[in-house]
Amino acid sequence: MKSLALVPVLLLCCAPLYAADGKPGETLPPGAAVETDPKYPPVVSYTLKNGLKLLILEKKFVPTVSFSIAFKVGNVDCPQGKTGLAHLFEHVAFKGSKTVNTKDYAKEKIVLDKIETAAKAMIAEERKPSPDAARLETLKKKLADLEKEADAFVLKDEFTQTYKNLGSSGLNAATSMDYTIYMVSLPANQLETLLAMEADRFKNPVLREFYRERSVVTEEQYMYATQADRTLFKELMAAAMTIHPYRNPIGGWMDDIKTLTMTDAEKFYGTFYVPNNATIAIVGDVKPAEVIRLAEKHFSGWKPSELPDTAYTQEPQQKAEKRFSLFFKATPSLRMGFHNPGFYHPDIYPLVMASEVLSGGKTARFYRNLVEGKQVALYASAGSAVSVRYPSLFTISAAPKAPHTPEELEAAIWEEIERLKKEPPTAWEMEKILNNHDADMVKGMENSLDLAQNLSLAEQVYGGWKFDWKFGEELRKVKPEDVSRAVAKYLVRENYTIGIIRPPAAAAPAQSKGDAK
Amino acid sequence: MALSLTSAWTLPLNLPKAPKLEFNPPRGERVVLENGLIVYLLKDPTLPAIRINAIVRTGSVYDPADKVGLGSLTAGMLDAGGSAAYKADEIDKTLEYLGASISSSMDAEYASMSMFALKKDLDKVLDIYADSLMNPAFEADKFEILKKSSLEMIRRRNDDPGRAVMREALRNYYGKDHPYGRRTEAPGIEAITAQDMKAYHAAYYRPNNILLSVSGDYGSDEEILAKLKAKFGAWQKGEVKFPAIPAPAPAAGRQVYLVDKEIAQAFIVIVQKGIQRPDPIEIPFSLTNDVLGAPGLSSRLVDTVRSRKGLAYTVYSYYSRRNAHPGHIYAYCGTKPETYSQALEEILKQLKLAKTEKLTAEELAEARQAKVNSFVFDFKTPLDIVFQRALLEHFGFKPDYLETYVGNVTAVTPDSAFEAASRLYDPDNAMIFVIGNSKKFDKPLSEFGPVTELKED
Repeated sequence: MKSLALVPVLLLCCAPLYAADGKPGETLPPGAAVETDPKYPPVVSYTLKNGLKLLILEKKFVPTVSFSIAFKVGNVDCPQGKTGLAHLFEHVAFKGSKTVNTKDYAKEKIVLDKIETAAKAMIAEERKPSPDAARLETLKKKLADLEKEADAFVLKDEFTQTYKNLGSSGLNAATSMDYTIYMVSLPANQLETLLAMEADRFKNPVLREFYRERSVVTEEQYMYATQADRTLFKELMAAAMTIHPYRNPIGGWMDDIKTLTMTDAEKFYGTFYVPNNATIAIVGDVKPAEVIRLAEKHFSGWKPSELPDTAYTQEPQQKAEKRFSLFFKATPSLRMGFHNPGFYHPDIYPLVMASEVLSGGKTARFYRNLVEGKQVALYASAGSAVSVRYPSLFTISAAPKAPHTPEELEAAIWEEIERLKKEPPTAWEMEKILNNHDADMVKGMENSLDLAQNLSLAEQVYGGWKFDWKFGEELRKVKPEDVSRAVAKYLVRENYTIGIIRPPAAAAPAQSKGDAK
Repeated sequence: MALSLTSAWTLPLNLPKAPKLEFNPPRGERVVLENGLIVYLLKDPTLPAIRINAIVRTGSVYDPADKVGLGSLTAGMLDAGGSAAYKADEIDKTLEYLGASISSSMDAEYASMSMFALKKDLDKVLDIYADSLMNPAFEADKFEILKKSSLEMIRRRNDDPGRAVMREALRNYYGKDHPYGRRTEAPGIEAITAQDMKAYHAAYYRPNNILLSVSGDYGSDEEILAKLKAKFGAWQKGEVKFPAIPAPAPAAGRQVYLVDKEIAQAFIVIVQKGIQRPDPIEIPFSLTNDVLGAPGLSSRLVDTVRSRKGLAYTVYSYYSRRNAHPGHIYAYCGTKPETYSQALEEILKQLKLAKTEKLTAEELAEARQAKVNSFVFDFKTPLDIVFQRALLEHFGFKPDYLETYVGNVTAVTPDSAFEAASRLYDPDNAMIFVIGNSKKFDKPLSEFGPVTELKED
């Protein structure tokens, strides 16, 4: 069920088989609770005094432990002019702490302070209306020299190398508009090392090699800029959202990235990387009571603080249909966006059903009628939301099959939208979606690391680890007429933005009279 | 076999040493039906679902030269074109209503067809799966859709240059007409008929040419075997003949290829001659490659090109485990054109270093430990286990490959790792393939060797 991929699937109503060794309920400390409703897996929940939430699921197959920590902070929370900070911090969070990746932090710190002063001077020069080229060169060289000086104190890549040596799998992190998540799996005997490493990196981070990592992040943005689909999506968000920070690209605007400093990142860390803004999920061959004991030991010294107000400017109602051409060296494709009411509005359920009726598989309407039938599309796919914390966009992405044009495909998609407004889904179409939701719940339990991520995200960002299961319950209440009604309300021209990828030749004046091939 | 996973180096943070971990790699059962169908079984009652995967011993390398894509279209029609007992539309409706799936795909060296079903639907889905695998109908209208999609994909194959660079580098390394180098082209796809696919299916899709992996909540091994025998037992075995694949003859000496394209990054692939699978040199070689640049967040390439110099987001080195002789070893990097030469020079320097200098004892000890410790992650899910065993058998590895793996890794010495690395890495004679905007290059590409400019097509 593709459109729910953003709301990662988890949970299962029929999981009697978690090999709980003995009876976890008896040995759990006060404050810990095990889920006993057989509709859900027997997740153990516990909250530390500093507000850090912990979810544990015993899953015995091979002796591994999968860890995920989700923070409710994403690019949406970056200050004005500092987009990309959430993503850059995520990168630097692999650079160690006051005791990891360093030979002598006290001495290193002196150089790090000099680096920061030099970097700020360099950025100030760069930001001048007409920077002095010679002076800028000198400042850049000074920064580079200091970075080399700092290298003398760095134990290179100790954090990642330690994980590698321990046999880690899936060590990674991801930043989205809504959240930042870190994950890793280790052999189960390394549970304490894992928790100690993770606690240390978030309690005592040192943002060493910051400006080099800023270059790495810049390269990442260049890579995305070579990808047509990603570029189209970035342009669509900026066109459709006028004021809400969802309009900013996840990795930040390039010009903002150039202004980011270690000082900015430390402030950002202090604001959002607090235990009361995080949930840890652990899935694997572990004993919950032991996990809780070790989590208390390593994470309880992490200081909480009050979280900032995150009620950002709401997006005003769209008044005009918006269209743009993205001239790009790639074959044509298109992406449509319609403002949705957000995940905390009841209309989201019929909109999810609508996206599935349109594109949930080969029996869905887009495939049957656009890929087959009219054969105008290579693919066409709808999704009810691109983000969760705030209202975002219902999107449709599609590519025409030659000789058909994007305009023909757009018209054909609109025909399906209009038809759905008039012809509610059949009972079969509705039941199919619910059955797939159930099957996805089972698939979501197969891989421990995926499951850990989904549990921590659902708890920390979406409003509770049972989010997906409850979402399924809500989908069951949707009636076919509700789907048509929601489509008629949201998938309308005055709520519509469309971007079309066209070859750069189409932008040339000589070919503007319709003779472009 | 039991192995104990421990750490040989000092942990940061003064942590207590981890307890020993006893781990026996799960095996599953291997059964051969009378018609030669090999079945790997692993029961897993923890989730109410069943997964099946069939590895068919074929591969796109066996496609006829004038119909490249035949194997891929044939595989594609197994899950799209209906079967003797079921119309394609009926299959789609049944599977999608149940939240089940059947999907087939084609690799260079095998075809595969997989199935997912909830436990309650096993019989129904298995019947469709078996009939689609044995008796595909190649419905004409579905074939038309698939063929046109394949043609459209050809038109779109250069949209993402970061991917295209890999395909084009290997195409130029193995040769544009060589089975390991060639790509699908419109005339070849257009020439393929339903008759061709039927003949292809009859030639390769035989029970004695298939390895089936089955995992999940299927009851007892006896119960699932009875079901598999009922579905596949009457399928006739037959002799399978594989066309000979000529040995690739990569050009000797440094060659540089450029596709000039105005894009924000330059994508660089460095290709060297590799190994033919299975080769015992692989394990010592892989340890050096782990230190040099295997995908991940810590290696010499990541440390130098990414962490120290900030020149790239993606940089790694890897090698093929193919039947081609020789296979290939490659390094990959995406970097801005203004500094591309610094990244390229650094990668070449690191390859040279791996070829000419032994790993330190500490580096090798860490690499061995990392491999031994992460071995458990080759067995993440029940299907991983049986599918992996089936694939190793198909690829010609010894039946005790997994059981002896840890011992073989542990036995690697600085000398054996160095011998493998110095024999295989060969940056001076490597082929360098670049897609990027040469107008912005900080140095002419010709400084790296004789340049052949290619047009994107």
